[in-house]
Amino acid sequence: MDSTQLLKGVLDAAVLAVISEQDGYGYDVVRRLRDAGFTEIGDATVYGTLRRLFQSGALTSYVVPSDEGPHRKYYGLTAAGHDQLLAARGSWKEFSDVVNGIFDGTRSVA
Amino acid sequence: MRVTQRTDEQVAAYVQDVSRALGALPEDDKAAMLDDLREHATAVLAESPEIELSERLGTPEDFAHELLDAAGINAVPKNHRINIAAYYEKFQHSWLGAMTARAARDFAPLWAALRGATMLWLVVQPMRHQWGFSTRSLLVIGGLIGWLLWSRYRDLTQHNWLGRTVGIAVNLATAAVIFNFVTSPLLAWDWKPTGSASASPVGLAYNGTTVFGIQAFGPDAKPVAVALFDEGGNPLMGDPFSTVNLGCSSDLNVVAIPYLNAAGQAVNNVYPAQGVCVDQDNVVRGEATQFYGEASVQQWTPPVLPQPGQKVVLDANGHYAAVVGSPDATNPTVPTPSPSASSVS
Repeated sequence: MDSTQLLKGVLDAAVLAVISEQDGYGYDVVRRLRDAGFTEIGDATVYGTLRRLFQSGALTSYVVPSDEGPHRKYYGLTAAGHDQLLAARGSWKEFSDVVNGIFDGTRSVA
Repeated sequence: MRVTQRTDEQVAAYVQDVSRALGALPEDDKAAMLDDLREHATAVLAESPEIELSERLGTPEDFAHELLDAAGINAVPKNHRINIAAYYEKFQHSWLGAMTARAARDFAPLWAALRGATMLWLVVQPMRHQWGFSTRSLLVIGGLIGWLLWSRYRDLTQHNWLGRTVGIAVNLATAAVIFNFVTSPLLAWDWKPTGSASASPVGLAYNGTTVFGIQAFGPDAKPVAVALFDEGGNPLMGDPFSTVNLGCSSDLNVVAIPYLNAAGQAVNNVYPAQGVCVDQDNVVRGEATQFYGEASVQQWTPPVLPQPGQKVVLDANGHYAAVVGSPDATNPTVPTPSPSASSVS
């Protein structure tokens, strides 16, 4: 199964989770997601997600000067972002428990 | 240094292509997205200087589509979008596109001059007769201005949407005017406006003002019938029913009666006009009064010209004021001045 389809459903939560560990700029977030295992994730997908989360108020941003190139725009979680991440974790746990139960045969599907 | 320059150029080109592919978005959204992309693309090339951005990030069109999709903005299915940018890019790389680009570069100064000439002509044309400009002088001056502004034109029209809109409108107007000139018989340099399209005075003008009711007088100070023509034999005043110097009582209407030539045809530019007064049923009640010529002629005395040998005195404006001295007695052909002449001895 194409993992990108699965990723779409949890991308917001994944991005929020990465940033909750440490604030990061776009390229950094892409790299950390890939290092975590989302190797096929598109750069533009991450940037679009960051933009959407920022506009919804889940993220804040600030600019950090860089000696090596253009200034970097770092993203950090807002209080609303923390709440959204907590809710997403709860939903994901519940959802994954159900799916794991089905896969393991410990949950009836009849 | 060279690597940095290449990086900057590649990033700028990629960002520009993505910007074009993003299409019409709110300026703030677009600027924020492109800022992120500029920073991201620079970081990508810093990490892998030898690769092309499109290898790493996908084509600009794909990147823009993915970006919009993930951001939840205007997420139109990719295969439903008319990718004008892609078609334009394809055209640019074709033989015809290369020829067009080269021609555009070569003819840019000429086009700038044509643009300037067209704009000045459009702006000044309605008043050019009053201001004394000929079409040729307008085109030459406008062309010179356009050529001088050529190098600044792009700067002036690329800063914001208003500048871009004006720039496009000016180019389209120039193309339309040139097309009209090329495809119409008005191409002649000595084109003269005719009919209602002309902003110049209609009829016979003197110092820019239309004049009516011109009267001609004979040596006896009485109006005479004359027909006025220009050097081409065209009637100067051809209004066939001019009643400008004919009058009737207030309850009657004036009807001008044209002169007839030897062939019995109506000749309309003969003055003074003659006419009749008619009632509401168009029944003639009498002859119309010529309220110009006769009245003014009553008080007018024809001048007695100064004779050879006499001296004229001019006023401060250089106009005739008086005559002094006696006529040259040695000239037998000179008639003796009339005693009523206004000579001053």
